[in-house]
Amino acid sequence: MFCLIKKYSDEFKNALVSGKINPDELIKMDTPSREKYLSQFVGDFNAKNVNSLFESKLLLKNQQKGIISWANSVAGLNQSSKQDIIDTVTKLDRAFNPKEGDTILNGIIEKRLGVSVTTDEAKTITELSNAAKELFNPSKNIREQSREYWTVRQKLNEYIRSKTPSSISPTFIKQVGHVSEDVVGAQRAFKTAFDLSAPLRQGRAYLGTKEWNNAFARMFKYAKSPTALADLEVDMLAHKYSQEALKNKHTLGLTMLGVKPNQQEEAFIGKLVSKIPALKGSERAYVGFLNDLRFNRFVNQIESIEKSGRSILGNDKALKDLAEVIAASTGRGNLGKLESAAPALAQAIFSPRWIASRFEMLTNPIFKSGPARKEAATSLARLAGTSAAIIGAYKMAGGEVEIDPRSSNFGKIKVNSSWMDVTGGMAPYISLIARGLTLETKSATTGKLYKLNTGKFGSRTYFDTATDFITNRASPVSSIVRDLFRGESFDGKEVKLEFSKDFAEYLGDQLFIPLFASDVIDAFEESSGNLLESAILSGGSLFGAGVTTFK
Amino acid sequence: MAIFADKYRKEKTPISVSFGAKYRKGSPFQIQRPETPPKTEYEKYREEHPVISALGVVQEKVITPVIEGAKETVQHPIATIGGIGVGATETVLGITSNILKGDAKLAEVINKVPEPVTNFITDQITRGLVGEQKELANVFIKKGIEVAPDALNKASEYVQNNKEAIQEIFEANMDVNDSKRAGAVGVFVGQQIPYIAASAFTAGVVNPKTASILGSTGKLTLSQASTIAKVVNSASNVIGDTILGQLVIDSDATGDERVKQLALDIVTTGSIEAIGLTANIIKNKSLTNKISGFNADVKSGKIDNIETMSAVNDEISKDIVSETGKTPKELLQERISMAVDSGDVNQINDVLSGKVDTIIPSKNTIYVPESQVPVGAGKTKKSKLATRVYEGFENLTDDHKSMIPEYNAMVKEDEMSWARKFVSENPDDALKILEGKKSPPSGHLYNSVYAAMSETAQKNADLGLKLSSLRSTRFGQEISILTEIDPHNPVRYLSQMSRDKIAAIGGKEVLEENISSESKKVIRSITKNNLVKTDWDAFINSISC
Repeated sequence: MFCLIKKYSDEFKNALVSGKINPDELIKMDTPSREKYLSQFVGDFNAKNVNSLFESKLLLKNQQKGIISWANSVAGLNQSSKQDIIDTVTKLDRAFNPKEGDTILNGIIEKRLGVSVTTDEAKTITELSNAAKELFNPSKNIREQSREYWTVRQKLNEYIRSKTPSSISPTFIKQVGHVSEDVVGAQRAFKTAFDLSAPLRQGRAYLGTKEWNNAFARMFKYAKSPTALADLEVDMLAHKYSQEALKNKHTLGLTMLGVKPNQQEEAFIGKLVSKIPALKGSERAYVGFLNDLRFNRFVNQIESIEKSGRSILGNDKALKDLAEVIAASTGRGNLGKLESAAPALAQAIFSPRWIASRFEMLTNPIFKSGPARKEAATSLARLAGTSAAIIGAYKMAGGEVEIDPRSSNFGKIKVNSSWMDVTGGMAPYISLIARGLTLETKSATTGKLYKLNTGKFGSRTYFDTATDFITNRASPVSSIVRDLFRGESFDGKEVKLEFSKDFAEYLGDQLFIPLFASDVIDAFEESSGNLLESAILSGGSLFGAGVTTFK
Repeated sequence: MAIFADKYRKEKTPISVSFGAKYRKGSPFQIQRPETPPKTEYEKYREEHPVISALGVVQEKVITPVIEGAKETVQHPIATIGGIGVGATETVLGITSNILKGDAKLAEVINKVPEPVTNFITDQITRGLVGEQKELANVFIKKGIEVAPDALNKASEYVQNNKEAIQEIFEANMDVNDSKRAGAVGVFVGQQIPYIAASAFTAGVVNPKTASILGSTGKLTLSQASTIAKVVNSASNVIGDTILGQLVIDSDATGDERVKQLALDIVTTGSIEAIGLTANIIKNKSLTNKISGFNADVKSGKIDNIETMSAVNDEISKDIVSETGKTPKELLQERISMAVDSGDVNQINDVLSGKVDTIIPSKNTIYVPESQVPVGAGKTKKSKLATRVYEGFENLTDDHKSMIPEYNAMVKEDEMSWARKFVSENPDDALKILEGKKSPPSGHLYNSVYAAMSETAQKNADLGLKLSSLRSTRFGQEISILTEIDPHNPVRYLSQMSRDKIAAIGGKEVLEENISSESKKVIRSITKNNLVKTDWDAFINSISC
């Protein structure tokens, strides 16, 4: 065992005390330089050993202290990540050369950035995958495995998804950007929350189908219990066409299934949403209904095509087209080249995918081919047919309806002073197209027809109509900016940036009052206490039929 | 080659070199040495050991420039070849000869090698290495020293039981690529003993693929590079180094004739050890006894300085002259030219070991990358493809038929059982193989190591985590493909999670930028010096006698 004789150890000590040895410099040096430097004080023969001991005993300690001090100074690092770093650092058994890109150091930094897989995560994943392996019956096909097996696989998937963030913000600026996205997302969720709007809005094109009926029936379970959602995923995983669905997960708009981090439903974007208890039930109902509907429609269509003798399995393009059509028909449009800008778009516009989906729904029967075209035509026809049936029946019963596509009330039925959209949100898009084709618009309040693009001073153009169409679909936060620029709100009230009660009420209404609540309040106020009318309007609004009240 | 020497003798060109007085004697060079500080122990040693010293010069002047040229394309520290040479070789052969004799107690001796000697050897082995290479070698050697006593005991025990087989290795062709026999000494002991480990390290550095890249730089021809690789992969690195030196001279690597002269001298002087040790261990009993006597002195503590070992070399040199009638230099030049011309590794070994005096012109040898050579120790089979090709020809003689290539079928169970054992006993080495930093032991497959690692990782979260962290390596990518086959392999999920997290931050480039900027912060925090006086006091007290 090496030891330093007294003469040299005294010389070493004295050099430290007198400042001949500069500890800071000693720490910064690499191994050969330090050996050379130390040889002046402890002799050539001892320098290597002294340095080796210095590195293992003192330098390592210094590095450990330095890294822990760095970890403590990092803002926004949660306690468990910090502890993970500290545990790793204290277990180090050798000093590293800071001048070199050291794998140990990189590993620690990856922990701080949140990109490394933690030991706990690895342990849980290993346990769950082993549990799945034990339940796996090798004599059976993967599609024939037991429900217990798929339940464990779902747990594994869910765990991995929960531990894999969809975005990580390494810098302060990016963190601010993501916080802003989260705030806008949470605020939007507040506006759409507390209702069960998916069935008569996104799901409207499938109203009356067995997939819609079943999803609607199960939606209340999803709202009530998180385990119901997990059960839905187990069903999806265990389905014989789960692999096809998984392959087209993104296109089909599935927001669960698989291990990759999920895309989110437009109405519930952002990390904050899942942390607000009041929104959880509504989110589960929304997510559950749409995943249930999309998945089952997709696999049932595959089954039906296979049974008819025409095969779609193995035809990736046909499967993708079918998934695209079902997604568009259920309110999840494809943003095309703007896909990568989806988060930014969602900050400015209330629901860009929904807008895209409505246009796609109209064009899919023309541009798609094969089974996808058939599905697109069927869903559009179903939407048009059921809308016409409701409007026709209501008119025959003596109710007031609007069937002129140039009017903002097109596709709506009038209940007292309120208009209820029965087209699943498709009407405004048809109106926009109709106004463009006829260059005429019909007033929703007076019923008068106006020409567009007359060239007269102050008259409206089609560009104004199109601009209104877009600005009226602004996200709640950007709609405040819009109203401030215009100087008035959607319902004509003055909006000024000031510390006043009116402005505070306006902000509260814009930011925090859910659309469903606004609809119910407006309908009740205008119904003069007629509970039946209020109930019809409230029920429609609850399940996604848009209600507009003119005061 | 001698022409260069003559030319410089005539011109007496003054140059600055750093090797010692003993070597200068009779040299054409004039030494211009600036005023220097007092000599270190190491410098003194270099002066007294011109071979080692001069080899360092070759390393610096010849090999390093060649390597530097290749470095852009070759990531491996090829520069180690020259540095490791002599220091490792005599020890390797010395120890091996003792193991051969079945001296089980040698293990104890090695364990008691005085620390200065160990340090010196370490220094020798790592000399010429820089930065990370040096660190790597140090770690390797330390590990070797740790396990040496146990390994030597095992090795000695093995040798006792397999004397004949081992003798056969030395008397036959010293082909350590034969995994069965390599298991006896080369690989089995080579991975355990620090000194032999250094040789293995060198051998591992130059694999045929690397050599072909080296060849493609234009500094050496492909066949020369392949020869280097094959030779370096053989049992004796001295032979490899010698041939390498020869090839460096022949390849006109630097165009500097003074350097060529130096290299020539090194090659020829170095041959004393190459031929002497190798040949005499096998043939000359009296020399073997001398080496035994030397070892006995080491054992009894009479010799505690590695420098004393050089005396053995002088004696060997004299014996070579008396036995062959030729100086080592003449003998080697003759044999090297025969060996290099043959281009056949086995024959080079035979020639250099004195086993044969003439070279039988070899058939054209086509070298294929090691990774494409079938592995296995099972039943010998004829290549079906080659058989079909040969059958396509008419008038095939028996001689022709005998040329159909044969290979040994791999016994899968044996291969997997080896891999499981290897992984459980050498998890770090196995990981390095998967990282692409190391080749699997000769005769075994990468995928066997992976499969065994993967199997172990199923129950071991830490190992799974390590495997999943190999994402940036080629093998990491291969792993991700292989894990797709097994839906229950945790490594599959861990790798996927790791990739998704990197994607979440914005991809690899963003990650690297952030790592780089955070590294600077960490280093700032470290270089603040967080140590206090008491830490320093405690440290000095802890290392004081």
